[in-house]
Amino acid sequence: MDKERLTAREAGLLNCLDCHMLTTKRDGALQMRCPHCGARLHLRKSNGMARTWALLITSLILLLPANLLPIMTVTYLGEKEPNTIIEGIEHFIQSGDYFIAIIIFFASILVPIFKVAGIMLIMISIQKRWKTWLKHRTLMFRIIKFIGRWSMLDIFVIAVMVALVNLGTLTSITPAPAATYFAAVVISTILASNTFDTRLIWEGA
Amino acid sequence: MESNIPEPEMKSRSGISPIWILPIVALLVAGWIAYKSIVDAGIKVTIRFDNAQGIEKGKTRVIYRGMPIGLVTNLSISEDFKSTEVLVEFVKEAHEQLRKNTRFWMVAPKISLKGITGLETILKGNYITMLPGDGPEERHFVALAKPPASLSAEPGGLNIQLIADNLGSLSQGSEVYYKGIKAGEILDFSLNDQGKVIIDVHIDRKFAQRVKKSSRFYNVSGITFEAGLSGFKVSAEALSTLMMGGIGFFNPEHAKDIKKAANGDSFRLFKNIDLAEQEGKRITLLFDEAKGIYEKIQIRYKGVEIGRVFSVELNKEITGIQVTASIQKQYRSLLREGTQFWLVEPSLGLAGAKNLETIVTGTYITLRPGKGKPKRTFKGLGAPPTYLEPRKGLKIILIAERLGSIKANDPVYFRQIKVGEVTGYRLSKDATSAIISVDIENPYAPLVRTTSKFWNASGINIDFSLFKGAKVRTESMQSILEGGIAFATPGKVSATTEETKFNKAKGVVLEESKPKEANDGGQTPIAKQPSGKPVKNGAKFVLHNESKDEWLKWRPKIVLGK
Repeated sequence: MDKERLTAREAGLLNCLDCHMLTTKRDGALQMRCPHCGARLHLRKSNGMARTWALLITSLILLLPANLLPIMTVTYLGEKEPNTIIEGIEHFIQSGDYFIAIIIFFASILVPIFKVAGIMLIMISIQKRWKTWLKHRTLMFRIIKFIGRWSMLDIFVIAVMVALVNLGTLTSITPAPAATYFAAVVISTILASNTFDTRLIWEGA
Repeated sequence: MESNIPEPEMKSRSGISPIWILPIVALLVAGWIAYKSIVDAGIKVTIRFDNAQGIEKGKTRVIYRGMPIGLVTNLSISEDFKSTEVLVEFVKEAHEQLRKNTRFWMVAPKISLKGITGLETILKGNYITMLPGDGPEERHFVALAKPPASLSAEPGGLNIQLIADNLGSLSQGSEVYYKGIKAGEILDFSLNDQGKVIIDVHIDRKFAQRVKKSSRFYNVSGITFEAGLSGFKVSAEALSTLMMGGIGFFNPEHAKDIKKAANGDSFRLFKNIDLAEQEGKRITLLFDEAKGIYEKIQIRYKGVEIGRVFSVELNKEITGIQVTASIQKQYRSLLREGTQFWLVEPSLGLAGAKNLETIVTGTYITLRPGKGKPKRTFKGLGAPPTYLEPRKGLKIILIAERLGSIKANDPVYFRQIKVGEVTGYRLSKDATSAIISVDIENPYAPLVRTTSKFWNASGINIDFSLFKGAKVRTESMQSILEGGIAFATPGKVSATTEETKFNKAKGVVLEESKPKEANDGGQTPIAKQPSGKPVKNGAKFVLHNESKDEWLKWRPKIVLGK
């Protein structure tokens, strides 16, 4: 990389992450606030790596019950039938709803795994001070942030189904334990991507 | 930059960020879930079905007494493609029940004459149910093709086996009746090694006490229509047995204090109630031919039914008939060495009809008990034995050139009064003459003296001569038709005296009407004493072909015995 390029940090400047105002860095015990919007200013997000790691591990652990336990229970003619995420997808495939099956597969299985794996890859690359593929890593992080909000889709599907399909004992759908774990996975991955400071990618460059 | 102001102490960040609580909590939750799932893990069992129709992965349950206790988690076809392996996960409480003899089968809706069962499966789909068994724990089972046993097989009932030649119209679920009340039902049936049908029967607890070791079971299936010479009989048990078949049982009266039956006891299943009632000692009778002997004909002794014929078949060598019969137990003392069996048939002869009742009641077998050791196989006689009852009369033997028309039971006449019977005949050892044994009734025994003359009184004796004219002589009418023997005993005095006396007396009646003379017969003149001496048993006489005139005129006074 271009060694002569000056970073904001080297120039003693700070960027507000909320309003993107550029301020000069001042040392001191007091908190730095954006004079413009009042947001907290960090040179780097405090303790970012540790937080991100903790949240990543949390989501990784919660992924197991989220996928192995039934996510919703379909009651049909009094017969309760609990379904895990995979079983739900199988159902949609069997009934020919390939589109819905693909969406749910992406939103519920691929995306969480992609998110967790992607952030982990970036984290490792920073800690190992890999100096290649910097742009790609940034791009990947951007994608992760973008799709993060869609990973709640599964929870939405369940919420909508529970509300719509409620015919008493004839047919009804109730959420099962995995829904909670799945929501927890989604939340912790979103938090993990938030606590991560992208500037760290370029740090060692 | 130099300054008096002290610099802050720079310390590396100690401890760990509180954010790490999150993964720890997640780990705890996940660990707890894992622990729970291991602890609550079901028992995986494979059940092999011939046909897994209606079984769905993740849907079909194992239901026991209405409780779902297992779920089909996987289906796979066996390697040889001949059956289906069904993987079932049981709740862990079922642990104790999955033993070697536990039986599984599929419940599907079934409509039968007895009713509709498994109706719930129409909506919910078929399910698997089970009957816990004993034995070591087992994880691999083979499902039954059909329900093994009625679920009503309550504990405390009695499980017994019936052995039958033929299942007939019985089927699983056919009911067992005691005095017409439903007492149990058929659980299952199978063939044993000997080709007999083994029927597993469950007797309800309430009736378990009623089954004794001596109980008799019989098939009450359908309507029994029995027609024969003795009339016809229609019998039916409960209406449901018309269609489903059924079994009845009773306890023979003489077996009241017999021990109660235990689980697993075997009983014979009789074809019908008659056979069950007649059941007793099985005997085998060997006859030359089966004419007149049918299944179910009676065996009577002194006119009372004591048994029945079960089967009539050719013996192995095809030289005769083997009749299997059963004699009621209380009469088994009749079955001894020397017991003779023969068939009683109606006979119509010139001299009259005999055993006419058998035309109506059918032929029957009768017997004359012997005195030997108990025995089970007897030779049946082709004809009634010549010597029916032990007689206490005087037994004498007549030797004749020819037998003539004499046969057993022919009468022996004295003055045309029957005083005895022919009991039998045989050829003498050197075949020169016929030996006829005769029994003279006791009161008449004194009539036979050493000098007595016997002659064949059969038929009509016609003397025809040119000078004397024709003379027809007969004994009684019966003897004309049937034959017979007559005898006379001479007096001590010359025959002529006797003859004159007889002529004057003009018949026996005249003589006997004089009580005085008859009374002091002992003191009558010497001429009226019979000649010769009284004979003993076994005395031999010659049987003449015809009488001489003079013999007919002999009429000594003889005091009759008692």
